[in-house]
Amino acid sequence: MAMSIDRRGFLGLAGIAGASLFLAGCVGQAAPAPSAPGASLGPAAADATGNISYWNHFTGEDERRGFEAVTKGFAEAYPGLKLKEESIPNADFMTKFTTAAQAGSLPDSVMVHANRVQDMVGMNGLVDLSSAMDSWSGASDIEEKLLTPFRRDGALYAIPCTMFVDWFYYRADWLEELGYSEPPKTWQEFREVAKAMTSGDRYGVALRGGAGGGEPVIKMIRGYNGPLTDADGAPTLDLEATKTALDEYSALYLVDKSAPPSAPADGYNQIFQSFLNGQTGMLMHHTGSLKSVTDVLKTGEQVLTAPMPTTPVDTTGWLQPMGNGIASPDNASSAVSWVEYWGSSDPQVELFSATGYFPSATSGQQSPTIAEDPIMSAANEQVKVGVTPEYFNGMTAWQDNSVLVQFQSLLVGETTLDQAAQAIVDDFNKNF
Amino acid sequence: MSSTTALIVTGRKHARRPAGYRRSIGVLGDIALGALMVVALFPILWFTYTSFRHESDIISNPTSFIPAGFTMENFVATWNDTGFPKLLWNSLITSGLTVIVSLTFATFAAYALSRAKFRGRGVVQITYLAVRIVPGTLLMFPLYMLIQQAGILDTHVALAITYTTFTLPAAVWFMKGFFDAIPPDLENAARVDGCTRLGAMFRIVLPLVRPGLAASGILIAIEAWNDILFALLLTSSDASRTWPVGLRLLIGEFQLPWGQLAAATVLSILPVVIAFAIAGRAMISGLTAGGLKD
Amino acid sequence: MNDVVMTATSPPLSRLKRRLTSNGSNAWAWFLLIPSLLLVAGIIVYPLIMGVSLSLHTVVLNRPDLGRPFVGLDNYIAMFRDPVMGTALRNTVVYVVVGVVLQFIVGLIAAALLNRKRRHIWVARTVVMLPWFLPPIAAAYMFAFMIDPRYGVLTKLLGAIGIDIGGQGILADPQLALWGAMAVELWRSYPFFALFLLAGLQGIPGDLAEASSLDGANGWQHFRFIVWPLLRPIVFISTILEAIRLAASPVMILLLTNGGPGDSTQVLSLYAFQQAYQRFDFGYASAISVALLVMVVGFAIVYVRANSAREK
Repeated sequence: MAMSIDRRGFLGLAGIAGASLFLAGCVGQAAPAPSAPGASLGPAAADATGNISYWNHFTGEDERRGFEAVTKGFAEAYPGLKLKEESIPNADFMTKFTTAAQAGSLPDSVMVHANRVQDMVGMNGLVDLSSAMDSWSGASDIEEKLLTPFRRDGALYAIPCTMFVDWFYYRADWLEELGYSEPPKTWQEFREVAKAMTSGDRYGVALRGGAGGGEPVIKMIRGYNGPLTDADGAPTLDLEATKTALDEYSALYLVDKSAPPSAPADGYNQIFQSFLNGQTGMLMHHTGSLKSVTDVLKTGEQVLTAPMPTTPVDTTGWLQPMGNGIASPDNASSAVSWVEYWGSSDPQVELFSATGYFPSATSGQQSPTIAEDPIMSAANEQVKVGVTPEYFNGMTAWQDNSVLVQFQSLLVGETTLDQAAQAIVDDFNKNF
Repeated sequence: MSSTTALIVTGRKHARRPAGYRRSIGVLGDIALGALMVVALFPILWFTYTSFRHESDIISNPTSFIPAGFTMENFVATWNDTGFPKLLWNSLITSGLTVIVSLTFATFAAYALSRAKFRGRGVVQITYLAVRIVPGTLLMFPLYMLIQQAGILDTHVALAITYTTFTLPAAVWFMKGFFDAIPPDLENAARVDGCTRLGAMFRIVLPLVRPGLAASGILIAIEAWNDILFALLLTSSDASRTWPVGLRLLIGEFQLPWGQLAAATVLSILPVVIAFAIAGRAMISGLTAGGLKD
Repeated sequence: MNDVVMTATSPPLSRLKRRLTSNGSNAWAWFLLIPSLLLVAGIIVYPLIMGVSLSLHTVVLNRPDLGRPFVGLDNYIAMFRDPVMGTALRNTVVYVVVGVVLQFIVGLIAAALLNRKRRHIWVARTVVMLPWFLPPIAAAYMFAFMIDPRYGVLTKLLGAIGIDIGGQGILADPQLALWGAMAVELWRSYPFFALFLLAGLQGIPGDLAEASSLDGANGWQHFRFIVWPLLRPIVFISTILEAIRLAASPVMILLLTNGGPGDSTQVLSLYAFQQAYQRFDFGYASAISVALLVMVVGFAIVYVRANSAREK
């Protein structure tokens, strides 16, 4: 195709582009801070009417079913309030939230995972709920340590509606065969059991080196380091502790050979499939996946749960609450009703029945459905000693783009322990 | 040289290669084609097979060719629980709108570029191409702002406009090629008789490039049908959500239902296959008539 | 012929005819072009200007404490210093160039095979096109499932004939992951070339083949001197469009490996996307996107010029 871009035409185009550049000097303002709502944010009266727009990332069959149970209960409590919900795949949630925050078109309320609070607040995407919390009867039913992740600079940005309690699944039958009467409690014991389980086609532990594998690494790091930041938010990550943690965790793959060779790319599906199909004997995850495991393996006979292993320094098991917050102050009182409703124990227990997600309200945790379920005892134990991590600005990016990348490189031999640890600590410190 | 010339020159109509040689080349070609078809088809067949298996069967025997039984439960679940029919319908409307708008504008533009020789023609052509080069990351947020401020978030129109913007350039380039292949004499003759330019275009040239229109239309339709990135961003409910978003939503945080995923994929590829079976035959055989010359 | 007409008719009519036949006024052309140009420019120019503008500022969405200062070329300089950029650039070039070449070759072979007279050849034509109809998201999940080192059916089949892709698995191996992604892309996209090359091949009159073989030309010479020149325009359009698509779209790699393991499958389009929506660093993301845009446009211009030059 003959095309001649003659000089005049090209210059003309360039000229227009240049002029527009100067004219459009503005880069767009930062998203406006949501104006603080009126004096006290209380819930709406039981006969109030209106619409509440709500964004969540509950997808997949079980979550949808659980969510329907919750919304049904809400409709009964507030028959006049209509909930208009939109579910967005978790992987794309922040993309959409970011865009909407910039455009000033956020919904009334949003689901807030603890590890996103920092970013959402940074974008001026959440409204302070402290005044609502102060006047709410259900506030005392929530342990303070579950609220800490949602607090920033004296403001509270979400009320928890469920939580994920770390634990690990293990093949009870394999453990019995090997002669152990109890699951491992410390990390050294864990490594030992994993090695013992490894023989023939079997591997001791399903190691997650693929997508999502950064978080377990951080849990190990924190387990050997202690808190990642101090009370004032200053960084407290130690290089030696990082090295030890990386060393110990990668030893499963590099030294003990108790993880399958595909570990560096194994994501969620692969580790679960390997556990459910009898290739691996232990799997570290949290209460959220209980149902998908018990759907396939028999509780008690084949699979049981145990609290996460401990190190001499701290536990490696986290408690990660998830909550609901308010993103736009316009419809605050209706939105607060919704947020507080799900913060109470009844809908949370309903959610548990459908999905196995652990309640965050203390009375919900003590309900018979949970307290009397033997497989949940590990969760109850973990809740007592578990810690909520210190979510800092840039944590997710550090987790996915630095920690995971370094760990993968370490597993496949593309970097050394020293280099990986140094890179991780350097990237960590860049955030402060 | 035409075959009549060849006849005159040599007195022989057929090539001099021995018949056996041509036959064996033919058989080799058939085998190769068969192999290609297997490669193309196998993954799709495997996925279709997966969609008819029980979820538990898939998890415990992922590579087995002998299923533990056939079931329609995946299709039923996908059809009923995810609002798939509405999503497919939205996709149909959006793609249809896109094809109509994009093809119309592209044809006008291509005709102009083909018949009019003016300064800056080259710049205009590169501008169209440049549109496709702009990386999605640069486009996502401004596009969202534009659509939101126009108040048409979560509508078929918003998606159609977006898809038109991407598909138009390719269509312009292809259609220009088709127009170039047809000499302007016919239109000029028509215009001498009093026809307007547009009239000449509609009555004389368009019928001749019908296969090109079909080809470009299919190109546009497929791109619109398969997009996920902008569908996720610009839609928020059943009002305009397209099926790729539905597919992504099938995947829970802690669940990946392979059976349903496979069923959803099969359901979504069916309309495309049907459309191609209808339009494709006409298109390919007709593409020969138009040709793509400079 | 037109001249004859002109001299034989009265002056006003001849003036009109001259206008009609010599393309004197091109107003009508602009009339046809304006709607699409406006649409395209409106939707593209604004984001482009905004993108360039963003790239010259520091814009980190979750760090309002940094403000939005103008920083000139700092983002671009950071790009040069960023080790990941080197990897991403290399991978992008490999992905695009090798990708287009392989897809073209397979597409050409497919087109040649389909360009024969057989009964029901349309069945073969439809089947061969099928991978292209499948959306990237479905193709990605499908293949990830099929080449899983433990549970993939392809792993099993290839193992049966002696090719072992188990163990670490293709997508987990930093050396192989990019090639794995390219293989999936190849499977999905070769029909694009097959379709248009087939159309081109069918446009070549059959008697040309006979004539050239009569002249003693063998298959290769026939291809080189008869077929290739007639196919060139199609080859040109399809290769440039496909190259652009591969360079600018991160979807397939995003779904298959998300840049991993490590950074071994990182490509420029994906890196920009991650910087924007995971690190919320829109300034840096815009800089990368603008750089990518400039590179591809530069390549396009060079390619177009080279193609025009060869035709003359």
